[in-house]
Amino acid sequence: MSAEPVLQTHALGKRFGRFEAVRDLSLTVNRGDVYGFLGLNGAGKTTTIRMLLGLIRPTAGSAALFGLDPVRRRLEVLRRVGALVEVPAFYPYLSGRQNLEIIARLLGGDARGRIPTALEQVGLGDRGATKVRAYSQGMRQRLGIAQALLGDPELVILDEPVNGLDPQGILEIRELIQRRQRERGTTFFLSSHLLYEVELSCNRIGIICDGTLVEEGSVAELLGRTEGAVRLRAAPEARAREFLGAVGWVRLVDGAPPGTLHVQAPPGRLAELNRKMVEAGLDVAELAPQRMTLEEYFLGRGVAK
Amino acid sequence: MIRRTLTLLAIELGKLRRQAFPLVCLLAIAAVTVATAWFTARDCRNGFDSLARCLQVAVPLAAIFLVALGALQFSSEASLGVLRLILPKPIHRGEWVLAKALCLCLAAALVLAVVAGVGAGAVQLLHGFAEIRDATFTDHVHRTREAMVQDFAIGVGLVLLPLVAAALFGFVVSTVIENSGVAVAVATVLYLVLTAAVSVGLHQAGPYHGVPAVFTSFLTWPIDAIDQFSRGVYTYKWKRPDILLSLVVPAAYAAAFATGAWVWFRRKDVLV
Repeated sequence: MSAEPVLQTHALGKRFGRFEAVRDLSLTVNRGDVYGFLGLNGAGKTTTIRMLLGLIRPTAGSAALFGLDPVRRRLEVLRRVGALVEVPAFYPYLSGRQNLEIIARLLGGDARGRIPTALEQVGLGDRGATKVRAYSQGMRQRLGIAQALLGDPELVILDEPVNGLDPQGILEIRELIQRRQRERGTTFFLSSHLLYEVELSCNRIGIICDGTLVEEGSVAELLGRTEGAVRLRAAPEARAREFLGAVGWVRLVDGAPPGTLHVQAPPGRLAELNRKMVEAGLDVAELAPQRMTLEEYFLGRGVAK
Repeated sequence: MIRRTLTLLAIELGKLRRQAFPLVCLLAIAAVTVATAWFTARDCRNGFDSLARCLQVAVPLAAIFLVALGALQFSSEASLGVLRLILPKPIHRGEWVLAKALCLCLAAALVLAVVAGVGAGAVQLLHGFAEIRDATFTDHVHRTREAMVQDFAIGVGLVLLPLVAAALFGFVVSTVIENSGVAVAVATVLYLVLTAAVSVGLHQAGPYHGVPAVFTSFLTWPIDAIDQFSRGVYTYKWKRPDILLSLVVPAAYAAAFATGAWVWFRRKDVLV
């Protein structure tokens, strides 16, 4: 991944009447990134994506795609971008292939010739002639991804790309994204609720809460901050809690499932901790260093209400 | 820009011919035209009289159909959610507006051609077309067949721009209202109310039905003129000021509606 920014926003904002859906949003996506844009429902993810694509006008700030103003240099920018916004929508009285032919005509170039490959890549190779009104939600989602990739774009913006897909479909789309990023250097900007998928697919994430970016960085960097997390099972649990609370260099962390304790402790002192607990008469069944998952990080970050 | 607009126009025409609604309505209007020819065959004195009656019935229906078709243009795209599929592609919104407006103009021309063609075909089969003779002094020819054909051509030609204006009236409503059913209902009702409200009796300053400042006034007077010619009555004449007004006023409204749609749609936030 290079450090060349492909997508940048600077204090981007959108107000609907008195309601500020997005405010002061500044993020950067570099070339080759698979960027996960995370946030709860109503956080401002889709509003941000709509602003980037020119569907709605920002009321503050600016955005740049490939260093260009997407409002003034709209055609130049959109020729290099593929996008899927929310639930995929198509003309129901046309087949999947006919819908893609419309998209291809708008894109120009070799897009029309890529239709068969695009359908194959998303697993619709044998359903291209079926009218979209007969498609399941998963098939429409796949067709939505196909149309986003049809123009062989440098930047692909996907809003909830695996919505409605079964586990096999989710795996296929993840592999498709990883393959394109690896082979063609395509940059992806994904918004998703599926934190596990984002953790597997993305190298960088941005977390938006109440319209503002609260965190941005590489996944490894963000989750690396959780070094020192330890999962404990000890009995009696109440006495174990009391004991751990009294140890100065150990911090109890909330949110552990019943029967388990989560603590923060220096990684080099785990053996010492284990010995002290045993000497205090506690039965230690498990003491395991943890790498926090993105879900745990996201929820523990206080983003969840 | 021209190439992109023509590409969009080709896409719009392709979509139009694959939808059931326009085809069903066109067939219904054609059926009404034929039925009118059938039922008026006995009462009419000649084929031109019968054809005029067919047009008097079918042209207002065609106008209502075109208002509805116009009202579906962007509202159906919004209802389907397709705006968020198309607008992030490398096109300008203004080009899409222009392409849809051109598509509606072509649709109006097609509908009028179908009405006139089907009507003429049905009347030819049922009645045939002969010169207009006096009812009492049958040796006296009021108007030759060639002259009547020319009168029909002028009359039908004058109806085209009011039909285009009607379609674009619906079109501007479609850019404002995102629900397709509501857009069609509002546009149709507004159009009918406008037509009724400005029809303050016949024979105003000109032959038009109603206030000459409104495009709906120019829809049927050319057909009524032909109807009178076909019966040997010459209350109406093709006067240059009347013809000019019949061209300029609907054209101005059509341009205003198209411009309104363009202005509104260009700046609209697409939230659907």
